[in-house]
Amino acid sequence: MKKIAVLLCSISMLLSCEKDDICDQATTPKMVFSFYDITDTSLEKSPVDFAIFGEGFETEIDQSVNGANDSFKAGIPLKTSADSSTFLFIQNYTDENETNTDTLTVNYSRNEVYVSRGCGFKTNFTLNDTNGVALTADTDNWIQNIEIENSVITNETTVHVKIYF
Amino acid sequence: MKLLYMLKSIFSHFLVIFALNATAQTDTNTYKKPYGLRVGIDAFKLTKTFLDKNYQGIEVVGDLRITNKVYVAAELGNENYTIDDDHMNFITKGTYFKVGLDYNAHKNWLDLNNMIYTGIRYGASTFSQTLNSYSIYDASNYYGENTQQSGEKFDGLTANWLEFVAGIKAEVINNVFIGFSARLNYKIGDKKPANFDNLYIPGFHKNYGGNIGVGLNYTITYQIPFLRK
Repeated sequence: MKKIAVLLCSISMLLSCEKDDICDQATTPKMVFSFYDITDTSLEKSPVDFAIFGEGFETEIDQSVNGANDSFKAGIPLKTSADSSTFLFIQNYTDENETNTDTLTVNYSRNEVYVSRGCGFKTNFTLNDTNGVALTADTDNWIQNIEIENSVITNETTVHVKIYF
Repeated sequence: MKLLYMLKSIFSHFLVIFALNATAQTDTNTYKKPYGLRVGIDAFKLTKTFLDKNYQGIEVVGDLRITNKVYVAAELGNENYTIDDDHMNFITKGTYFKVGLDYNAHKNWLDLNNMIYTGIRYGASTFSQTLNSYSIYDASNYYGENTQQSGEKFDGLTANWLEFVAGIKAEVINNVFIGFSARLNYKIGDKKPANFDNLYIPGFHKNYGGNIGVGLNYTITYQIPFLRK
């Protein structure tokens, strides 16, 4: 009988507790890209004094002061509420006279996937075949070429896009 | 909400202690015992229906004594619950039944008919989930929150489970009992909606992705006294 009382007490205490709904799973993946040398296409390199912004946003997504010999790999968040996102890739960001901004538009389709109570849903992306990552031509583009390595974006472990300059 | 849980907890502990004190003595004399059908209602769901505008629920309970210590017990219920979570808002609607046995471990004093019992139930439910809205989780949060309206309804969902019950029943006036039981539920299986989950199952309650659920009821029951031994 005492055992039942103990059981009853412990179950009712269990009822009083609520598990915290913390999201500890992989959710919406970023698009991962890295930079390569246009003349030696297997050589990774990094733009000097580099920054990325989402078009129309004040906060930088990433910023780097790396030299030309370093490698640079970063993930950029794609909009989960639209089928395209535009980014400003800026070289010599802090040097007003030398600043060079290239505009890249990422075009994709979205697939919303249920994750869990704590995370809600996530969005996976598939880059478009024809214009997956489009560079807006201007008078002095520093980006020379863009290659889509993996058009399906479901995780951040692989490089999706290679950018040559 | 926190306060409600606290009150619930305090009240249930108080009830257990009260019942243990009230029924601490035993005797070997034999008295006629009621073997009638006992029927009633879960007061907890009824109260919640009045207090929580997002909840409507009812549960009818019944048990029938088959031996000195063993009762066949069943619950039948219906719930309609709108749950507003951090990342989604959904409605669970459905009916459930539970059937099983209760074992009374309490030796009654004289002609008292109180119970301190453990039991087991098999539970099954058919229900629907309606996903009203959900948010897309983007850890970068660069673009701010993205909440989507949906309204998609998933019909024909089912679940079944086992319940381990511990509870008390005390006769407060002639043939009228109040009872409290706590339940630990283990899900055997469920049919999940496509690209969503059964985060709440009628009768089984909140589901965190594991197979464990918890429940309780406060019952008011009436013993139909058609047979005494």
